[in-house]
Amino acid sequence: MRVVFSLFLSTLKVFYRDKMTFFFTLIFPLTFVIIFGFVFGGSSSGDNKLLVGVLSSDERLYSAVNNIENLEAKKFDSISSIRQAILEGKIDGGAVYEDGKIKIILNLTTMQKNPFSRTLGDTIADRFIKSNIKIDKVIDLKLTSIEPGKVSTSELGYMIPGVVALSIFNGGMFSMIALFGDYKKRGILKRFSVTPIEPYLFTVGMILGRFVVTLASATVVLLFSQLVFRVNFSINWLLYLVSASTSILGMMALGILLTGIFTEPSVASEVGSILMTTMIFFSGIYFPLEFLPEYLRRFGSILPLAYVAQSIRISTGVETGSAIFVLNISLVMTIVFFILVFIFGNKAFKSE
Amino acid sequence: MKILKLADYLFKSLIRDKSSFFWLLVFPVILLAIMMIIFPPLYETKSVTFDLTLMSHKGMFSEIIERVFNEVSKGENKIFQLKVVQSSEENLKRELENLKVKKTNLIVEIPESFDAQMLNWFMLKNIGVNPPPPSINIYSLRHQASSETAYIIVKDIFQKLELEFIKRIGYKIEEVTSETEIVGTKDTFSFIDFIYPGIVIFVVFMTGLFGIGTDMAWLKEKGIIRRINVTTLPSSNFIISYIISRIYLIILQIILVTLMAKLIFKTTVNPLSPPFIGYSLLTIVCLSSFGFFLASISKTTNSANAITQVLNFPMQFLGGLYFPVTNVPWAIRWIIFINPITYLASGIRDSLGILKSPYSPIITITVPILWTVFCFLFTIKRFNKEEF
Repeated sequence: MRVVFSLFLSTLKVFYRDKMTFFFTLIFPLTFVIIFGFVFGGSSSGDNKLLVGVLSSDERLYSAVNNIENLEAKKFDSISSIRQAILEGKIDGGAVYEDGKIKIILNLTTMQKNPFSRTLGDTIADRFIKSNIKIDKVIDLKLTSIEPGKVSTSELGYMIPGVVALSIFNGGMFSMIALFGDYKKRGILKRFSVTPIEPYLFTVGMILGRFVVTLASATVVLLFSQLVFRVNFSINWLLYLVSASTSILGMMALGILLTGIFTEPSVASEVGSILMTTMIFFSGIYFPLEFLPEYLRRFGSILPLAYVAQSIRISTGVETGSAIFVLNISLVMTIVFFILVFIFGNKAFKSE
Repeated sequence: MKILKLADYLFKSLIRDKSSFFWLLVFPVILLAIMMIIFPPLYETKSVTFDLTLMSHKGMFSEIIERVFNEVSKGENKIFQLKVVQSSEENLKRELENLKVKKTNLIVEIPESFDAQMLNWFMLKNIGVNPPPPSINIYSLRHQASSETAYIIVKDIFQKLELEFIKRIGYKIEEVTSETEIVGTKDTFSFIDFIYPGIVIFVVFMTGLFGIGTDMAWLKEKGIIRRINVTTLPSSNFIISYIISRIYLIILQIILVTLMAKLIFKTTVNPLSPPFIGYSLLTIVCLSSFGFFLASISKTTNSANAITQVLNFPMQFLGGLYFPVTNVPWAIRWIIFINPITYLASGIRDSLGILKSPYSPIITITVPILWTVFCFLFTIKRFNKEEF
């Protein structure tokens, strides 16, 4: 037990000294949280009013825009000043009425942040026409946005569990590539094999150390976003610990598998980086997959990071799902981990 | 001749390294392809069909609405996969559960009193009274792009339907059309035209960070530059060869990305246009010098790796390579302002008429030049002290 504990402690120290692992497990996800937090933090669709510039001479358009929910009109002296304000990000868009035509001026960021802005022209034209016949609405569309989870959270809040999943993915996979690939190449396993330490004790100690630092890093990312960006979660801590822990084991299994397939650790590490990039784009943690072709959606649905992210979303209360789903995923991850660690752990020591 | 021979050797040894070959030459092409798969559908959702549940019942107005939704849910290019169910509390509860588990994208519920309220509204309107409009309930799922987009389409359909109703009761409707201009862009916004210059800057940035920054730090750490110093080859010749080898690499990278953008994704950007060439050269000079600067401040390869990784993503994302970054708090805006990529990306897009820059052309040229001068002076001073 003392051996395992000593190895565990040394792994903790190595983690903070190994700049690359430390970066990919903790700094990389935190960087994403900070960037997306500041850039997209305020945009939870429907919550914020779009600021639309109109000419101060056009009172009719000004009041038509102000009568639309989610819009607020701001007066400007000229079209060029509206354009400049849009370019500088001071307003989200502009509307100008000329010869029976309403010209909507938008910037790309508004289009990306707020899908509603794409039909701004039709919406303002509609309200503009009706303002002339003193009819505001014929049918009142009452929109209720249903929260997918137990708690009402912003876009950022919905995204954070994905970032936590990414931290788990990086920490789990790259740590095993280092342990079974890099340590083997550098002869560290060989040196340990001539000591009285049993191979399984060495493996348990090292895995335990990496497991703890990955779990701690993922939790730091989660709590950091909650603290700094005031993201709303309803964390079921038991479910979170189960899903995060077993996901780490599952991602470790992936790392072990890569070192089994690619004996050169640098190749395994490169393949891991390619997998990471693929999963960032296609597992639905940052970008919606609904508009992609069917074959890409199917591809996204087989990526493990998609399941890890969904489990974390369920356990943080931002998505509805049964505990059975989380436990099933956890069971699969754990079984795969033990099978692979048994096969490749033994193989790694025997070959030395 | 010796300089070119050495440059040739340095270039070949770089691209023979599998990792450098993949990340510096293959990956940018893959990244461009991924971007073109992921992002354009977010702007154009024409080919997507949304699952819509319409909760209706018998009644003149309800049936008109149902007919309209049936019409747009027919044929090959149908907008909706329509499911019509009877309006009831029990059905609503079931459909809301379906919405939560993403079995449907949107629910439109026409309340039972809707038809009566509509008749009432028209009658009162005819005698000059302003009654409250009858309501229809719509349920969408937050954080789901498909649900939000389906709502936008449904809202548009209802707006047109309302105008039809108003016309039928005898109001004269003025014709007002609308058009949208994305500020500072060409007439039709094209994502490939937007992203292609961004990827060109990205490849040069990658070479600056990893092909020069970490590579030069490795040469320094292993004492290779020091060893060259004691040979007959002047160290200045080595540096010139090194720079030429990286220029070979950047030219190859830009050619590969350009071929992909031109032949596969049909960009309208002319890579031989003077503004494109001018800003590309400025990018090469500025970001290469940035690479040398990073190498000069890193004592070991490991620390160079750590610094480049820390700078890599913030500089890419906050430089506006993939999306314009505006309207952010001051806590992060200063990074945008000091980032040379901000000015290079804005400048190149503005000069090509793709997206108007919030900065004047003088600023988009001056800031990268200042960065270049600073990085080169700093590097020369540091290397003179340590290596040469």
